[in-house]
Amino acid sequence: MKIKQLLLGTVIIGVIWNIADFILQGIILKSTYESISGYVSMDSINPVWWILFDFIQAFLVTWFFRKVMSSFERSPQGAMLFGVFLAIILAVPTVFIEGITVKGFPMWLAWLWLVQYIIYGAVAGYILGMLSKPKIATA
Amino acid sequence: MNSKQLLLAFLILGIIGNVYDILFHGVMLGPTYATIPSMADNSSMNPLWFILFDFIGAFLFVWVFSRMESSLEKNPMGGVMYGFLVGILVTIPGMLYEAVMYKGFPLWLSFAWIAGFIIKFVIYGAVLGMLVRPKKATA
Repeated sequence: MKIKQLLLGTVIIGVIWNIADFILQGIILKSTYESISGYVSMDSINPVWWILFDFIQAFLVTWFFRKVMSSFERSPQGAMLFGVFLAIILAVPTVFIEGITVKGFPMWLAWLWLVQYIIYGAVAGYILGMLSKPKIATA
Repeated sequence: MNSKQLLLAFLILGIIGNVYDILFHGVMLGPTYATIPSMADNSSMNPLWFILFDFIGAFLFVWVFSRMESSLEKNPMGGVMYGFLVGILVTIPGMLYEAVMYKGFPLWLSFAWIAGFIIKFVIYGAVLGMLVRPKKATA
């Protein structure tokens, strides 16, 4: 995987995650976050942080994929498996610790976050697999 | 990596993780957590959850390694590299969310968590690398 693919992967995944987070976290779950007593008001947080965090995570996932991609089939399906493995190790047990330690955090939200991580990981893996797929020589 | 190595590594890392977390989160940072208004009272949490979470985290660390080991060196340095990469992925930007979202969460604590988790995963990696190192043939 070349530097160009690393940057392209970061940008594509970062944009997709930002759109998904805007809908899921910013619209669908906003009222839930507002009801968690341990959290500050979502409106008080500069949205630039969320955008930046998604791009940082996208870069790190793509960079990690470069390091271990030879362990996976060089196809979108093979890289999806990478994405799912990574999502599981990132989310478990972290999201459940959040459920125990933060005041007013509902446990169903931890499970939802786990599902979200796995879907985001699978999507990122699929994109990385597309980008790193060997080109078929044309006649 | 065979199933015996996987099981042994899981048990050893689970124990190391628990000892590490008692010292890091319980002894070193426990008094700080008590001052953060968004965090639930320590006495209200069942410590069994933290013991269980460390074993689950250790299992996933070892299991994901077993799926990526063909890309990694099978020695302590290879394990350290894997632990370092996982540590970065788990903590950045994950541990920075807390400083943005939790009420009264100091930014320095996010950085302490990042450093603490990376050190923990590097230790995990070094131990795992020792366990999976190929045995040298004796004369």
